[in-house]
Amino acid sequence: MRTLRLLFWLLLIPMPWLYAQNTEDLLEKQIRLEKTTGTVQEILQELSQLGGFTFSYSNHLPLQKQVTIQRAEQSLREHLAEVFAGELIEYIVRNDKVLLRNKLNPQKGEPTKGKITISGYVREKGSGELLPGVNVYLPGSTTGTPTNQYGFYSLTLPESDSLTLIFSFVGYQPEVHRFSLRQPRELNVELQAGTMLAEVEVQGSQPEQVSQSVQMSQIELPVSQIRKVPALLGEKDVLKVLQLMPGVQKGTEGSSGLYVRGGGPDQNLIILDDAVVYNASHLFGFFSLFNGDALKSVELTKGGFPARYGGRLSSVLEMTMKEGNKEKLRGEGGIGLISSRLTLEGPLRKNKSSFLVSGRRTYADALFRPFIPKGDAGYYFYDLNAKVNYDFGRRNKLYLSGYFGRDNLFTRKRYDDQSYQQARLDWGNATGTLRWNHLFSDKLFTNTSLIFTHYRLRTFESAQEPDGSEYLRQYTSSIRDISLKHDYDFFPTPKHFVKFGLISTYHRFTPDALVLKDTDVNEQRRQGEVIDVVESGLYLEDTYKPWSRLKLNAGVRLSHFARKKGGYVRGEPRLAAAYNFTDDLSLKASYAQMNQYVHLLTGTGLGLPTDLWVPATGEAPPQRSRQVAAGIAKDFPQKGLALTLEGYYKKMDNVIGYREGANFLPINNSAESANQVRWQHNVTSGQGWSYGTEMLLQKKEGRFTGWAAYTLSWTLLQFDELNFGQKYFARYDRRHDISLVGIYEISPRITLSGTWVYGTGNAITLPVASFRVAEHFPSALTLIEVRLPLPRPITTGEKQLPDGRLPPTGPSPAVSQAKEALRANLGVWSLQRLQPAEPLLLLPPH
Amino acid sequence: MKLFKNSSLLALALLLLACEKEVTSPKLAGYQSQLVINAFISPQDTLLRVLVHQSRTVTDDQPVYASGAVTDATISLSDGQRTIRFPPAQSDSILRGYVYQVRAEELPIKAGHTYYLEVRTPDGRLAKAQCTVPVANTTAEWVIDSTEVSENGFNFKRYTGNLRWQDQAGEANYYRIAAEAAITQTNRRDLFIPLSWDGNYSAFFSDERLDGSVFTSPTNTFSLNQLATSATLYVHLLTTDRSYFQYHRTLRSNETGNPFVEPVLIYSNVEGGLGVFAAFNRTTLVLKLK
Repeated sequence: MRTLRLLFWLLLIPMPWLYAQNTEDLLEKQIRLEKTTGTVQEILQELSQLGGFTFSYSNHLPLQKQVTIQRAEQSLREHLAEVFAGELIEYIVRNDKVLLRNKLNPQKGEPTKGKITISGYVREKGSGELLPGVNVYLPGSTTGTPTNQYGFYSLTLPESDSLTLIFSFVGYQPEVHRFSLRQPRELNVELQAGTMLAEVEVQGSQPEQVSQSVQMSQIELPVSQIRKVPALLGEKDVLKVLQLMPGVQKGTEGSSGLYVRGGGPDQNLIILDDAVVYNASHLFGFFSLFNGDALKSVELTKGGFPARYGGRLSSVLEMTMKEGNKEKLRGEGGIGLISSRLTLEGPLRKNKSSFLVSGRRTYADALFRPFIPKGDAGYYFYDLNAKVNYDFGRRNKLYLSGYFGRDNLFTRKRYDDQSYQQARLDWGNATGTLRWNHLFSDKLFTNTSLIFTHYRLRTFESAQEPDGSEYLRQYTSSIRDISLKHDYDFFPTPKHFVKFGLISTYHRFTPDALVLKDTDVNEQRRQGEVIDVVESGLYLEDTYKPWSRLKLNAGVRLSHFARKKGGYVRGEPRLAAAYNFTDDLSLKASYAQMNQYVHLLTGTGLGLPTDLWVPATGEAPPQRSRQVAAGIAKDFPQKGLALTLEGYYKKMDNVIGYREGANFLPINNSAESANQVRWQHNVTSGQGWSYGTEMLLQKKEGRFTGWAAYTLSWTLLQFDELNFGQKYFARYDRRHDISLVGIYEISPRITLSGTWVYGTGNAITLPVASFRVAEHFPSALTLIEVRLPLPRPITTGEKQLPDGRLPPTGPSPAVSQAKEALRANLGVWSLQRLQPAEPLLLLPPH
Repeated sequence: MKLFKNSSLLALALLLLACEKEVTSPKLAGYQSQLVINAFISPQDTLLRVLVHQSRTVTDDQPVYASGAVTDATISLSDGQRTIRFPPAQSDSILRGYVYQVRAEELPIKAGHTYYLEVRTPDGRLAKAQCTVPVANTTAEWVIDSTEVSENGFNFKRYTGNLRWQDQAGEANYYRIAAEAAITQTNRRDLFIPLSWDGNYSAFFSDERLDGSVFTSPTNTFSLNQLATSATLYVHLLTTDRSYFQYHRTLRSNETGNPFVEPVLIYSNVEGGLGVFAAFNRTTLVLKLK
């Protein structure tokens, strides 16, 4: 205990990675046991806790054997000799880790007769959650494979009498398994989540090192980190944490939109359990939909997209929900300033079936109600994640998951004369996924999913008069998808990991539907078009290791889009390569072509939920991007650091921009304004360029974790119909962006975290002058004053907001930059009539 | 021990609090004030009028209500052969500003001809613009219908009317319509009322997708009660050039009052300045109702 306290004070200065114990001394370290009787496992746990290091051993050790230690205080070597008396166990020390191994004949490559396949599932100990992305490999070599999205792995290896496989994953203690491989076998492993007290190093290079993976431009966020990084008003938020990564920017202060490598929030494919989510935020962009308590993994890909992804230009954000603890019932709740949440998970049938239910709701409306004078007005949001799964056995598993969330802004008023008025703006997503994993053989794993998604935005006004007359006006914009997805994971040899599959989605768009009813003028009207389209993709990709130093991921995706008036078929080649100069330094490069067949129209820059999802048409053709990226990845295994440095260049074609005068939300009642909202008239197509470099220094393990990120980027757009056809910097173009995040675990129950961000200003168009204009009456002239930004060609650096030093988040963020921009932007549209229209002066006709 | 632990944690937390700094007066690159021209010509007008203002930078020292009128400009108008000079600016009480005007006889405006306007100021600024006067469309006819109505003890006649005209095929045409009613009444003052089309005092049309077809205006409704002794309707069909149409369209777009609309730049055909120099040709129907 004393040793632990001493460690704590030293570690308060956050430089713990410089603190390392001398390896030779570890076995000689004197440890005083408090409990000297117990199972081998208990003694080992106590030794590691007291000694400040960790053990790594396979389950084949006699862990449940009861032992009694004769001397409570002795060196570690002597303790171990007592624990394993009679067994042939060898100890290997690596920094702060002690490996325990059965002293059998050392493995030797024997002339092989054949290759045997070993496969199985990797789960989390204590909950039974399947773990995707776990590295399964032979130590000291690059032979290995990650587990797939459903925790399944398969390796075909030469026959051997004794083989060692290591299972490792960030945030968990690695497992070492030794066995003989003579027949195909199933090996299911459970990993213990580890709150590491010191760094982990297993011999040789580790596959979870960035330099070992062929995938570049990808960010994997351990959910545990998401839960520790502070965000606005203390709410944990996946999207906010992603905004702290290089290459990902937020558009405006406080919003949760993702601008990835120069692409707007419409260019991100956001997937939750295979279902596409269309509007990813609550509270007008301040909070994302995703409840951190229900998530298992979060992965953002910014470039070098593997062929299995398609449909959006700039990024793929794939999130998987937890299945639910299969072993025992657990609950978790939280109270926050904005919302409260509750999560319940547990087994339905122990080790076979489990469920997870997680919900969130705001209660700000209930709190503020007494303060809102007359009438009723309020805002609330809620969301619910639910998942049920059944494990039929090795070959079949079934999952059913769903998400339902809604935001609601409303006002209601009942007047003294009994007339009643209400207005409402609401929006929300609902998704449902049914998935079936099937194992055809040890080498072929398939998944079939049936997916349903529905997104709807609605404005609603109604009034009832005491005389019985009624007025109703409802505008909705919605999109409904039904998809079928079929994927294969094929593990022919350790050198190849092949994926292929098909996804087909039937979209039903209702971009603008209007229902009007007015009994006063006896009008009843319903209008709105429905557009049905089918979007499909067929892909094939292979991760191939021709030599130990080179890894390639090559693939092709064929995407297809069909509507009544025709369709598009496009091929998208994808290629990524990684070359290892040394064990921990690699050079990576990638090329990816992406197509996007649905457009998101967001009329204003203010992040309001007036999102319109519309399909590509002749007037708004599909968007396309081609991206080239290259970079270096270097690991510092002793310090647990990973550094990636990447440069990219992306060209986008047919990006969507909004015409002058575009209007997306009909405010007035007139038919003219409803017609104006024909979205096809509101958009125009152009092109974009985005390029820059990103640097990320990340520490994923240990007591102190976090990252430092720096992005230098440019984003330019050009539309024939806007800005006189000249190139201009996109509104969200930000030259420099720095983020520093630190998470420090003071004790297993207390974590201290902080973030610091710095960004240069966004591009902005400010009004510089105003002038008077005259309107011609057929009979006379009057004068109106208009405040306008005058057209200026872009020159670098001009009209960029001054550098803003954004504060470290904690209590409250700064809104000053946004305020300035907001004030200026609104100023553009203010109109002052200095001269009221005068009575006409008739100039007599000729 | 515990106190020390807790207070050091608190100190750390305070260090990480937000620091705010508001940005005031962003530096804007030097912007020069520009000339703003407003002039509309037609063969029917008896006066040729030009308004000249200058734009005001947001950072200038002039008071908010200062109009920015330019009173010392030299203006010349030419039809390609003859050039006339405008006299100095005169104050106009109705417009509450300054206007440069000259009688139309000095340089008759004819359909089909192009006119060039040049505005020069003593400080060296020069703004130029040109426009071509469109040919009048004489096919306009006013289709009218009336009913006798009795309401609240008053008897009056309710008229509904539409203006119809034939577009000239094969060329780009732009139109504007307006109408007024001149009414004399017993024991009351004479009235001169503009008629409204869909809530506006005038309406604009373009033949972009309707080339060569018959245009029909929105329906107009107005009433004459028994007190009226005489009523005359003046209905104007203006055939305008593209500049006139674009300018007013963009001006209208800026007046919607809907904060969710994308901004629209106001059209200008002036070289070296802002504003518009446009032409139209007016046909007026005079209808005596009573």
